[in-house]
Amino acid sequence: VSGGAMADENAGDGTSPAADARRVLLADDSRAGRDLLASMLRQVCVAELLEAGDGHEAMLALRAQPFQLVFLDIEMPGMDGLEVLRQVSALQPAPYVVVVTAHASAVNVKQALELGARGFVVKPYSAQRILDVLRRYLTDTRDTALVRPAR
Amino acid sequence: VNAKLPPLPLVVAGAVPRTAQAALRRAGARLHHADGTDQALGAALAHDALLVVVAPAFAADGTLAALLDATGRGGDLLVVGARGQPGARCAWRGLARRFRRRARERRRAEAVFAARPGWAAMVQAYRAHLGERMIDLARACCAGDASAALRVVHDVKGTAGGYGFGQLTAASTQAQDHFLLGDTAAGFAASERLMRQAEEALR
Repeated sequence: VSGGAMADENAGDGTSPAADARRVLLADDSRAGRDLLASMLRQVCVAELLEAGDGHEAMLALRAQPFQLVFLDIEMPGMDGLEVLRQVSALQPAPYVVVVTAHASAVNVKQALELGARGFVVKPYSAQRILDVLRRYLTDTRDTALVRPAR
Repeated sequence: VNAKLPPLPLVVAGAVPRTAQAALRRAGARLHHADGTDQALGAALAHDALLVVVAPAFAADGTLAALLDATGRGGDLLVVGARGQPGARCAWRGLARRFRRRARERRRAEAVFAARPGWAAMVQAYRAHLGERMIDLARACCAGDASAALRVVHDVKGTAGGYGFGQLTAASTQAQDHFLLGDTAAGFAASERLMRQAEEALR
């Protein structure tokens, strides 16, 4: 991921080998949008957070190393989120992709779901929606290592 | 839910009894009405609704339930009909209680994130970013460049609410919708409104 790569200061707990590290990718062309979501995820996730500013950067990151969770904007310059979704489905293992978009239409939802998205969040979103997404991720994957235990 | 707090969004679709709607308003809900499955889904997503309350006819074929479930909102669908009506599965009192519970969850989630380290500095940085974006928008409007204006309003729509500038969401959404529909005159007019509101917010 060029330029925007950002390892979370909380990444890893010092006990897990790097191969088992949990990674979350935030793909959004809006820096302010990535910062907002990253700040929320740092509160509740024990994972390395990486950022991508467009679809090409996102695919480079996804091909370079495994990600457990991807927050993917639809409207990005160059390769858009739907094209990323198409290509992501061929990855093994395929990450859990949540679409984050400013366009709330049933057509967009159906298209994203058909391409394999597991969640759909519309901007601007509430903090509750992000927690709901993580709760759903836990239920669907049973990957308890990604989320910080509730205090 | 504290009556002084702003109402929270909820989507109502179909012939949901007025008594139920009144109970939800008293519980602190701001009702958004939808007519049709796609509209109900779109409204639930666009308004980040706490619950989607529908008449039995809207839930009969399971399409709305499946779509809401697939988007992570499976537990937010409630079917409410007139007493004795086939398919009515939720008591009105229980409905208001359910709404209050989701509202409490939302306030708690907001409290968790409001305390995040460095948040005040992030908001300050966003204020500067917003000011720069408004200059970009003014330039785009002066040049009659609808594509550039759309990029700005799209960015503001997606981020302003998250940084505490929720009052800019409506104008940026309007501007975005006009530009996407090709009505550039209305888009530029909505952009002007957005710039005025942003100036107020940043003062």
